[in-house]
Amino acid sequence: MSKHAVIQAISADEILDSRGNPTVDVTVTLSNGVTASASVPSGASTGEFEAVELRDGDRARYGGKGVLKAVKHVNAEIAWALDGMPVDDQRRIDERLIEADGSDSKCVLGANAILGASLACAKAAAIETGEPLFRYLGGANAHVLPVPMFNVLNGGKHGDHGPDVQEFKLVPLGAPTFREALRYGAETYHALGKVLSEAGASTNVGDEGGYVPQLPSNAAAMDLILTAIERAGYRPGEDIAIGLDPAASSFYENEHYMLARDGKAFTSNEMIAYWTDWVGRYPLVSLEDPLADNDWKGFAALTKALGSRVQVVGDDLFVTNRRFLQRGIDEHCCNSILIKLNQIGTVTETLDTAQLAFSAGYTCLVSHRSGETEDTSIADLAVALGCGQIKSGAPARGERVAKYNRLLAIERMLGDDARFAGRSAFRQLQAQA
Amino acid sequence: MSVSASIARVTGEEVLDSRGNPTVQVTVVLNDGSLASAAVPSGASTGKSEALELRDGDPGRYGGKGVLQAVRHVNEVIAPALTGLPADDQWRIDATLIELDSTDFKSRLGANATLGVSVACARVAAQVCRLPLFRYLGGGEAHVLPVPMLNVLNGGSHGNGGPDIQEFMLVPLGAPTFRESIRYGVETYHALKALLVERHATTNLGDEGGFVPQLPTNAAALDLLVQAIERAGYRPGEDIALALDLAASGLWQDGRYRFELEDRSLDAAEMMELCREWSARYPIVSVEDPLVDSDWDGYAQLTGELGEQIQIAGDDLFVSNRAFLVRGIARRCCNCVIIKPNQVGTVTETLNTARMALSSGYSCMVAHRSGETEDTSIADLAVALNCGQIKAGAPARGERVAKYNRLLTIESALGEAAEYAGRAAFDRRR
Repeated sequence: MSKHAVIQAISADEILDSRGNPTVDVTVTLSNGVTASASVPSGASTGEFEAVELRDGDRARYGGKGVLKAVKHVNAEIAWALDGMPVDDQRRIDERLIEADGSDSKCVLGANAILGASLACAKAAAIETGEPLFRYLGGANAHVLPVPMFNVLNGGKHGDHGPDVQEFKLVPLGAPTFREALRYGAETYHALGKVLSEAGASTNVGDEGGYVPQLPSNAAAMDLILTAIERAGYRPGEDIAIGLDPAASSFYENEHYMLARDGKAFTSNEMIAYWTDWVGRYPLVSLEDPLADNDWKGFAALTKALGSRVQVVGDDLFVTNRRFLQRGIDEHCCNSILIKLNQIGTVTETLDTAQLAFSAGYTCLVSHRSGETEDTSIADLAVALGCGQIKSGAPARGERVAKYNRLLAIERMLGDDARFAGRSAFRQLQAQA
Repeated sequence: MSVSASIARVTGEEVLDSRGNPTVQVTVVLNDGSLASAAVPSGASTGKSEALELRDGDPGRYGGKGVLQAVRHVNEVIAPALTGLPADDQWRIDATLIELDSTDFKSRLGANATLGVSVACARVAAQVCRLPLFRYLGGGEAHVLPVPMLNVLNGGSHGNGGPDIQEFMLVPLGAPTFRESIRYGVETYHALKALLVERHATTNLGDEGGFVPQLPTNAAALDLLVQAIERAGYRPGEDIALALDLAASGLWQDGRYRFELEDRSLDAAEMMELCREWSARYPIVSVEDPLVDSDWDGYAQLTGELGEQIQIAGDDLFVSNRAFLVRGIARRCCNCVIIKPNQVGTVTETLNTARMALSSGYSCMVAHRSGETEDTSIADLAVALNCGQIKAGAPARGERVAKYNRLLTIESALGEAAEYAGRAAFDRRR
């Protein structure tokens, strides 16, 4: 293939993410003058085995969160490593990056430095080959628009003073197109805002654009969301279903799940019973990290009990890493995996993990992080994978909306070829779809 | 100049803004294949005489806030009229838009339609000319990086449950460069967050990325900011000053200014006294919309009394409109004008208003809106004008940060030619 331009220069800069924390922005310049940039997100609720995000630790700058070291690694080590390489050989580029780092966790150069370079190369190659990024990454058959999962009510580590469950998501799987799914979601988000205002609750937003009201219990949040769906004129379950991310590792202490809002402490089995009750009671289609990331036995039991009724997604458990996913497949934990580029650090490794998931019958949910930038590559990634699901926060805050707006543009670009995944994105609903 | 490419296609699309409301995005394609897009912001606290933002009013879609009509105007009315025009003749492009609309406040086509087209044309023309947008708009002189006015504490109609005053801003005018000014601002923003967490106050965000804590008084917000500046290791007034946007038209009830938080109402004289008192007590360099937008006499009086000491910025009073500014200049109201392209609806009119202000000794502060997109053209506009001031919200929320990140890029691109406006932006003795 490589009749294409080669990498001539790579440079990085320290910019800010959506929380005002420094992050890495990488620009790649090709021998024919083509340039492309990519910037890297950052998580607050991070899995134990994620690739390492390199921060300076210099307290005098940005409270230690500066990324000048990572920037320097891009400008020196990475620029040397990739100099002169054909830009459209992503696998070799990423191998070279992994080699240059030399560690398992990308702690030497930093996953933020590496991912910035990896993504910027993919974007430059897409421009160079004249393809949109989703086509460059996913090939000629990439045409499925994902169901957006709108995190409209935030709690846990992403929202101050809110529920224990980190994310309550609207899943507009009954919409005919992505454009309509976005409308369903935005209208319901605004209906939720009104419901909260009427109740005298706050409508200020958390890191991912969702509201963070003070509520008496986690179930009260579910009821609010159902009310909002109906208020907006939609049918819960039919038009708009619900997805949850409890991020259970964040409230797991001393082998107990501590639900502060509900005043309860659960064992693993009790926690599973709690979710079983919810799956029976609410139109839940997706349940992410319902247990702690070291509770593999619990995950196996929960998947066995609930896997045919709800999508069980592993995030902290798998951290987008093939190795952990393989263990999950072997031990029958979850039936879906969350895909986050920056958990693993290169485009190729991300695609490989997704491939493994598909071949084992797992679904993939492409995801943003709580600290984001205006970079929209995850929108392209979701279409490239044809996985039918993306979560990128509420339909509010520019860094979230940018991804949804990019998907609108992709849908328009695809014209008649575009297919909205809808219910078919979820295995348990495929029989009915 | 016009040997360059001409406009081949103009298309509008409905996308979402940072509040999840529909807005207009326009893409312009030239006959040489160049392509650029622009998206339009939307205000919540809008001046009475702003150019009209056209919304569908169809309650079946987005609660009536859809913009399909404006999109249709782009595709069916504007596109045919602009096809074939040279892309780098901004004046003619905008004159054509104004003529097509032919109303005073763009109420026929919608300012959201005209501005999207106007900015997209400027951006694609910059590309064809191989210039960054700020250079294309501002010429060879454009090199001054603005002081960022970071709205870190929100109230009024932008923040739910917070103070009455709409914006409390950090002004890092003592930094040596724009890059450092952003660091000063971010560190103080995070110090403010830490202070709020210690007081068990909420740290969720308002529309512009600022915190919206419940506080006993409006002055308590100012005290908190001074504390945050010190906590972050900076000197209030020296390194980081403060600015306010009172959005007083929003406080105006039954002939008085209503402060809910303190359960009191002030008349115009008391409001002016409050400005005097606060600017003596706190390191305030700029006060925006301190009076209701109909009180031209009050503005003249306040400017006469305080205009030597602080910047008095008019937003609702002028709505970026040259005609209102002419009146303000004649009556010596304010000494600064807020520049928001969507208040007037084209790039040319925006530049004209700014030029008139700058040539009359007024300063200009380029501003975002509370509903924003990832479009960063206002960052380029601020540098193009060399006006030295921009407000684009807190250093949080992607749609705000995008503007500051763009300015970081511009500063890097300018290299040694870059000059950070710093304290000089607020020098009242020019």
